[in-house]
Amino acid sequence: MASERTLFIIIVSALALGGCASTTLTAGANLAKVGQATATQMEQNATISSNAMLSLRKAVAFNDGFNAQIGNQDSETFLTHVASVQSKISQYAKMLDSLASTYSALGDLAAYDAAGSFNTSVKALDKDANAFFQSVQSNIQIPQEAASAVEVGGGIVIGLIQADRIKNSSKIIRAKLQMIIPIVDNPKTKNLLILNKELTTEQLNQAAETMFDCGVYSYGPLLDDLGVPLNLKSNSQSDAVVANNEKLKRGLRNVADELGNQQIDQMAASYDKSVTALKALVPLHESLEKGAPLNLDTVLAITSQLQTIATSLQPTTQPVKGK
Amino acid sequence: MSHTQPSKDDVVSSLAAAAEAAHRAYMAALAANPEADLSELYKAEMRAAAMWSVAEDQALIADPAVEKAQKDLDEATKNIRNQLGTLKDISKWIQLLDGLVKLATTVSKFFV
Repeated sequence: MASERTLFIIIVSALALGGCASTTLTAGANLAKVGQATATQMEQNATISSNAMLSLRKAVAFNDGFNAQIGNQDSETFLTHVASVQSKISQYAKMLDSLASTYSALGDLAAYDAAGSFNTSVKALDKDANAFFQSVQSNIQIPQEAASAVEVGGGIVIGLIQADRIKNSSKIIRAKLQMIIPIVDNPKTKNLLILNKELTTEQLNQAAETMFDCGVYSYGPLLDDLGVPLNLKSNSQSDAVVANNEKLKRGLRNVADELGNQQIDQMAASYDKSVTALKALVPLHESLEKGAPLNLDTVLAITSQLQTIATSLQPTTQPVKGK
Repeated sequence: MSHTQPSKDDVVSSLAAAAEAAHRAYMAALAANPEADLSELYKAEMRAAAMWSVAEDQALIADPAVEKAQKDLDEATKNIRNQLGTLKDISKWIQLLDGLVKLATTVSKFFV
């Protein structure tokens, strides 16, 4: 009789523990999915910023050529600075890519025994984060030995072991985030990564506005954009009218300038949102580790905002040749 | 009279503002003289941009003369901004930008 009761208690306990394990595995899988999506979106936003800088190089090349200053030493100095910023952004993007891979490995760990894959991903994240820290002149380095905390191996109650590994892995990722966040949140890092707003815009706008002044582009897209509230559209005569009217040209040049400014504002906003996203991931890890329910709303909202910014930074229309 | 050493960020901002003013001067001259040769203005613009970008990567030395040099540069920047809507004469723009570049050069010497 006594042994039957003992067996019953063991079965009930095992079922209860199994239930807890299952909750942790589901939460781990959810956090992995959201973390991966967030880090991937952040990486894409950083890459867009890097592409915008390639446009800047082309703009400076045009401005040099237009002013008969090909090989101008000061332009070279300016572009060298741009290249250095570009390389830092690439390293930042690489670190985010590794973070996305680490979350993906966390998802694998929640689905099956994939501790080896997780450890490899964490090591790659350490390497890329340290390279990024170095590029932004930070003395902080993530210690490499922290990356092998999730041990590979089997067990009798696989679910319980996996749940334990998920919690340990979450702690590891959280520790990395808590080292990365102060570095990326430092205004000096942001200054290093985001080129001075006005000067970047100026070179891009200078090239476009010079061509605009020379009548290379059609004024149609800008006119149509301004006409939207009244449902007005440009017509085949519009370009000729604008070309012969200095006031109209001046007004449209100013609109073009404003559009350029908005692009650069979005680059800075994208960076700030990414830092906010990293910060929002930390309490999710804490909830997972405590066995508390995960509220993914904040991170999902930030990721969606990052996506919106990314869309606005992508060129939507091909320049129209006209006149 | 005591002097306060401005921060590196402050002085870099002054160099950035000078470069921005040089750019706007170029654009104002271009709008007023679309067919003219503006290469001298462009050279001054890029000189100012280069000095700003070099300073961003360097450290500001402690020197009581920094404050005065920065103040002079800020004045010249302000003067250019004030003339953006009115000045059309390219030779006058060249004169103003030459002065601006000289002052920016003085400021940039405090960076190592």
